[in-house]
Amino acid sequence: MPDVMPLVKGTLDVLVLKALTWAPMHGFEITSWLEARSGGAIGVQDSALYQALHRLEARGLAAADWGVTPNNQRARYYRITRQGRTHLAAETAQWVRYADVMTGILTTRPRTA
Amino acid sequence: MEPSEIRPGIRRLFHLDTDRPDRVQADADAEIRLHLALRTEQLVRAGFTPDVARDEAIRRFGAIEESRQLLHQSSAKREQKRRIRERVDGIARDLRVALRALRRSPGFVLTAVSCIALGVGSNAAAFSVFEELLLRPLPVHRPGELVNLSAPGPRIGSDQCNMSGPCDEVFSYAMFRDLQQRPTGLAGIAAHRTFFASIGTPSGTRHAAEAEGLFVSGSYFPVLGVRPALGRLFAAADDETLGGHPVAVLSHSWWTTHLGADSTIVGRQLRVNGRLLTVLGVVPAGFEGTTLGRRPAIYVPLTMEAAVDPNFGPASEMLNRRRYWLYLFGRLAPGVTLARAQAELTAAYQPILAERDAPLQVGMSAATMKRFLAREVGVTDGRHGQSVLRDTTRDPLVLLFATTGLVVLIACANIANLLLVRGAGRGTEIAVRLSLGASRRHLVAQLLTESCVLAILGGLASLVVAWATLRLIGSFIPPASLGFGAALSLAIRPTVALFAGAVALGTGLLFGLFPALHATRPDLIARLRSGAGHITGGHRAAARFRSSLVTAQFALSMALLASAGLFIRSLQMVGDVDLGMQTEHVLTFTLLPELSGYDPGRSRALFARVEEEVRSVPGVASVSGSALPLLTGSSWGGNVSVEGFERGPDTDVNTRLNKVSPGFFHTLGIALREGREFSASDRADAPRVAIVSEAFARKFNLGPTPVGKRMSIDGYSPKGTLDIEIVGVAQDASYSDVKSVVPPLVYTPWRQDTTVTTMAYYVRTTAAPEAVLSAIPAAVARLDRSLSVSMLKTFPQQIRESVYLDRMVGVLSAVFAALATLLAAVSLYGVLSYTVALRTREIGVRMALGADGRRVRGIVLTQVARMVGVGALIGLVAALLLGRAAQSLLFGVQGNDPIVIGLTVALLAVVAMGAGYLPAWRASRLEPIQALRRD
Repeated sequence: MPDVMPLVKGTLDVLVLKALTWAPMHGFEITSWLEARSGGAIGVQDSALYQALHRLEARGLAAADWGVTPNNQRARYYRITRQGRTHLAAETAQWVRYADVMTGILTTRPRTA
Repeated sequence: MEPSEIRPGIRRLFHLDTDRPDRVQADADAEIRLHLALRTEQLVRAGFTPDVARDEAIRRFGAIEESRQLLHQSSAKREQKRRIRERVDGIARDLRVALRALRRSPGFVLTAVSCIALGVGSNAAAFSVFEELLLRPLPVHRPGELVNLSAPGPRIGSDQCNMSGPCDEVFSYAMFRDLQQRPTGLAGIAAHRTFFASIGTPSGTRHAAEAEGLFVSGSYFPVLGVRPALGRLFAAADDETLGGHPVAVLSHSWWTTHLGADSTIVGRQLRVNGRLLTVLGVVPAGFEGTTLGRRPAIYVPLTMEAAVDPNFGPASEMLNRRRYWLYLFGRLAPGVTLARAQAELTAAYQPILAERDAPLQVGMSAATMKRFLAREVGVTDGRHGQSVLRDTTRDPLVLLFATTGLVVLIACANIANLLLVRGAGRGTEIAVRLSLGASRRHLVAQLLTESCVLAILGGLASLVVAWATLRLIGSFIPPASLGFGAALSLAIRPTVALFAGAVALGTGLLFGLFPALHATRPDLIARLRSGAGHITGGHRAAARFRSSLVTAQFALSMALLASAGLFIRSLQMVGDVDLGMQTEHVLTFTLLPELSGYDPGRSRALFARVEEEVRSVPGVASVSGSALPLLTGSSWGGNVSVEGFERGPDTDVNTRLNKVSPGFFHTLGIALREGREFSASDRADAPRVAIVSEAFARKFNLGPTPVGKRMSIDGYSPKGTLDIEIVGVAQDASYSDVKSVVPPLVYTPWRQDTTVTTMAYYVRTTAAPEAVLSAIPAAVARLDRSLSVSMLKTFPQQIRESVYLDRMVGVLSAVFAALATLLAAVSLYGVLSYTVALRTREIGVRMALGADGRRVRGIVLTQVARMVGVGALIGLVAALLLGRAAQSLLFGVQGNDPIVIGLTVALLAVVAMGAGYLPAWRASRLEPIQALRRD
């Protein structure tokens, strides 16, 4: 198992929303998706995920309906709302800019005199 | 399918129950359970044993319990949101459906809305007046702590009372100051007194404006807790030295209308009744003094009374302990009850009476003196200020308010009836909806939404009706002037609008309920199934309910019509009162020259010249004056000694007084029973003379030869002499008001009196008095342009205005009763048309069996007679009770007047038969075959 990075605070919500842009998923599918996408580099505690889902639902960024899994199990499927998409786009843009700036600063070497 | 999997829209459509809390929690648990199961499965696939995998799954999950709680919470919140959304959606949908349904029947809407508007509108207008006059407290700090003081009981001296209260509520100035200095259980005592003010610029170049003024003690504003809008108001230090405080405070409305809200007015001077006063400040907007119906434009310190009010007399009068002229009120000290304040005030009052007042009460018998010393101070709730208007208008207003309340009830019955008919017409639609699974509760809500929409429309329309009714009410109230009238602001205030809204909505809900319940009754489906084709509203309960509504309406109409009849009759009696004079072709006006800076001597010279000047106006037959304006509620009294009449300490020797010009009796057409009229030779230097009334002659036993007897008037005649000779006896004539018993009266020539400051003129014209009316101000202006003419109107008009309350009650109760009867008739017509339609088949059968048109009409009209007869009978009892309750408002007619009752019954019968005849006639014209073929 590769080293598991701790999650930067506030990023879980964005990651969950991103996951939901692919398809409506139930909680375990989201966890699996995140583990697969990050190659196991990002570890999310399951309870934190459900808390994030609760938050997103309360803010109207995600919505949920009961459905059935391929194995015929009853599961709650979450999907991203229109509002969620707008939020995700804004957050993504900010993240990208943030990452660029950070990278720029951190990779600039002092010029030797 | 699980209920929770149903889309919200479907759930709503079928009225399925939304999720219960336990189910919501179970769902959250299931979600976590599934997650754990899937994780375990994944781990098992990775090679863990099931037990280890399960433990690992739980470990990785982390805080399970916390997550459960959160999920529960969010589920519950979601449910709640959905429920609210569904409810709002439901209401919006009901509203849309209601509007659609109402748009389809504009006739029904128009009828229902006008019923509500008429009923609620008149009720709201009555409430507006009721609130203005009887409910609204003074706009001051904690009005509930204010108390009014009075001191009823015998006393010797002169009372001067006015619109601020009855005569046993006035105190002397000295007593007021004495009470102020003693502990009384009050945080402060204030005194006030209105006066007639003429306010002008200091130079006096511009014509001065006449206005109401109020003398107030320095404690007046502090006790009320009124804060200035500008500058400052009076404090105790502004009211200490008699005649020493030439200052004034303006009312907000006068400052705005006459001075353009000029804020530099503070510190500048105004000329008030000839005196220069410096303006200190302006009271806040909305504060109009403490007497309802009076709006002081200017407030002046009480100590300035003698200096500013020309009618007051010499300054020494201020300290006259036997002159009672001030109205007092106070504010209870914290924690003091009304009863304790009364006890403490009386404890302070009685020693002052004994030490200072009793020695001045000369000529009082021992028994009366005992009662004099035992006088107590009366303390009453003062939150509404001090006003006789409240007392005189209370009964009429309660009556009008109750009357309009009954009109609302009748209108409500109409609404209920209309809705019942409408519900019956929609029976098929409702039955279909019920059988398709709509819940009864929902359908009732739907129908109630419709009646609420009607109520809201009716409520809005009622504001227009209320406005018009207020205009009508306002047109009866004469403007505030010298003797009577009132400055009231009759308007639709927010409280009134709120009231109208509440009544309208109450009407819609309360009277929409039975029709809604009835329209959705469960047996509808059975009837639909039985194949009756269409469903009629001929349900027994509804039929009974509706004819009882009509009966109730006629009962109420009967009561209202009877009481209106009584008031009209009473008004007629008031108009028929024999005034003892001829008022036709007489006009009147009043002059107060001291307001234009005249001294008493110049005033009296002017009064005589005005008589001559007016006499020269074309169309004038004769002119005369009287120092006291007749029939305006004003009154002067005094005690007299009469030759040959024994006068003991407690003998009632009071008589009313008036001072008149030569030709007074001739001009007003008052007959002289004996002796002569005053002439130009009855001057100040001639022997003093008097003409007495017949009632005076009876009271003082003047016997067969009254002319030549001698008399004296206390306070006017030198002590111990009978200096006045009676030269004539005049027919009894009305004095201060139309309705009271004509009192004993002594007329003296005003030319023999030096105290006359006011003159009311009576001008008999040869042509219509209206034509001469406009020439009067010009005639007066020819003598002095600065003089203003007050109360210029025809004498009959002035008399009408003096009985404005009777006229208002009479006309308004007639209007409301007519409205009620009209509504009842409409209702009766509706019910009959409907029952005739229902009984078409029956009538057809009867006609086929040989009944003729008359017989059929008889059947219908019998139904009318039954409904109306029972209603009239109940209404008769109510009318008799109402008549007894209203007896105090009636003049010259008994509450059970048989003529009025008889006419009312006859009128009601005519109206009922009129409303019933058309449906009956229509029934009698039915073609039997057609009638039987129907259905």
